Amino acid sequence: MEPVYDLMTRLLSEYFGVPEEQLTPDATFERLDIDSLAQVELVTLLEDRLKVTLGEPPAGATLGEIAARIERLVAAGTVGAQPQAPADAVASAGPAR
Amino acid sequence: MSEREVAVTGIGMVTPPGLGREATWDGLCAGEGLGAFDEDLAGLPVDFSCRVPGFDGNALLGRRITWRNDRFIHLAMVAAREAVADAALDPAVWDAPRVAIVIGTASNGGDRWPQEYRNLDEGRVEAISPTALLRSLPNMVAGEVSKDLRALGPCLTTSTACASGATAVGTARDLLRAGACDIAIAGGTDSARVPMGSAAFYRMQALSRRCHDPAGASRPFDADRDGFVLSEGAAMLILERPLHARARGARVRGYLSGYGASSDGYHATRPDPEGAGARRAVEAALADARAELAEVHHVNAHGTSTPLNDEVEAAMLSAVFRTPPPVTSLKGVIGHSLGAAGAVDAACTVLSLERQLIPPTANLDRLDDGMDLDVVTKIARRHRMEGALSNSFGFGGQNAVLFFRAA
Repeated sequence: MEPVYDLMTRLLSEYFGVPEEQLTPDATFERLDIDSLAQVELVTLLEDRLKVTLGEPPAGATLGEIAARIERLVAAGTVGAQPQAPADAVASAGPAR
Repeated sequence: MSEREVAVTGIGMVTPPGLGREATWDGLCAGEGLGAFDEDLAGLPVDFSCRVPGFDGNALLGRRITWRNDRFIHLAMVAAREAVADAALDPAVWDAPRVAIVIGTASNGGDRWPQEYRNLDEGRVEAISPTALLRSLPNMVAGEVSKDLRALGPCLTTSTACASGATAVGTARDLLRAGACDIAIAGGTDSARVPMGSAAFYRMQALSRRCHDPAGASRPFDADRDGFVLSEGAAMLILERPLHARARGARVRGYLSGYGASSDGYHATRPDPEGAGARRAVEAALADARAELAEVHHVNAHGTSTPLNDEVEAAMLSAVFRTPPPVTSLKGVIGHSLGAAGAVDAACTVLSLERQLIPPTANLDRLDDGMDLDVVTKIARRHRMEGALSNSFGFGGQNAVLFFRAA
């Protein structure tokens, strides 16, 4: 299976249009200008591909840290579980009005 | 030119003939129907449409923007950027709170809805994209164009079915007249050539079923017409009060002198058989412009190629004008782009006045019995024009007519 870091950076580049040279393990969503809406979309895409429940990425984490966390979740055997994003992840991207 | 009028200082278009105002104009003047088999509609009873060939919003706008919105928004953004550039305006320095956005859309399209309904049906609610609504809601096209161009004044979407684009232009004119803005970006957009669009309009018996001859399917005013052809596109106009345009030395392509809106109040889909609603809109537009019938030298017709619309529109024109001036319908070439159509028609009416040239109505081989119209066919016609009408009539009996004068 494609390593999670590679999958995540591929989506950030191809789907969200982040320039590839900015995609380094120490980059953060904030620095890449991936806002809360895009983060929820990214989580939706990752959950769909990995068949795992991810929830909201920790604020300020780097791409390397987020990928490592997802690898741990996958390894922990949540594979096949019904993907279920926590309500607060959606709320953070929700319209303000 | 009076201060009741507004100047058209920029035009941008994305239509089946191609990307940009001039590609659109050249394609319209070529007069060939652009209906063709559409692989997205394969297997449906009506499997053809007029599409914008090779339109790639991602390449033109960048995934940074396009990942979160549907094709009708991409089309509008590209057309709006072209219109702003054509008007020699710079969003980096303009007085942003004084720039309005009014965009008409009839159906948007809902590119992603089939996929999201499948997710819902399968109980996969968490797989539904958080962008499902914001990528497809009609208001979002105005919101996204506003963000893209940093236009921070009044910002709204108009929805009057096939008249939406014309209603947007008229509404923007009213905002300018009321002093609510100094510049308005107004137009229309739609991309309904999606499977459900074709299936639903087919069920409504609105579409041409000429699958053996898609290029000849859209034939406004022709005796053998049998419905409209689904199309897509966007057109945007930059409107300013003449004083504002003059003060910044803007090139004026034409003047919007009159706007008339009305409702048939008759039937959900069929036009009033007497054309009374359409006629009221024409007369209101001319009264608004304080123009006489004799000042109308050309009519850019709604002319959808449906049996009923064209019959009623032709009879209405003959009733209003003793001898109607030369008429054309752009839909023979580009099909019916629904919410964009009124804006494409408005933009091309301005270009006709500017260039003193009327694009032909494609596929008109035999004018239907009982129609007494001078329809321009086969080749573009040179014609002296100072004023021209642009007609738009929507399902639901919603009508919008614009009267333009040459600059």
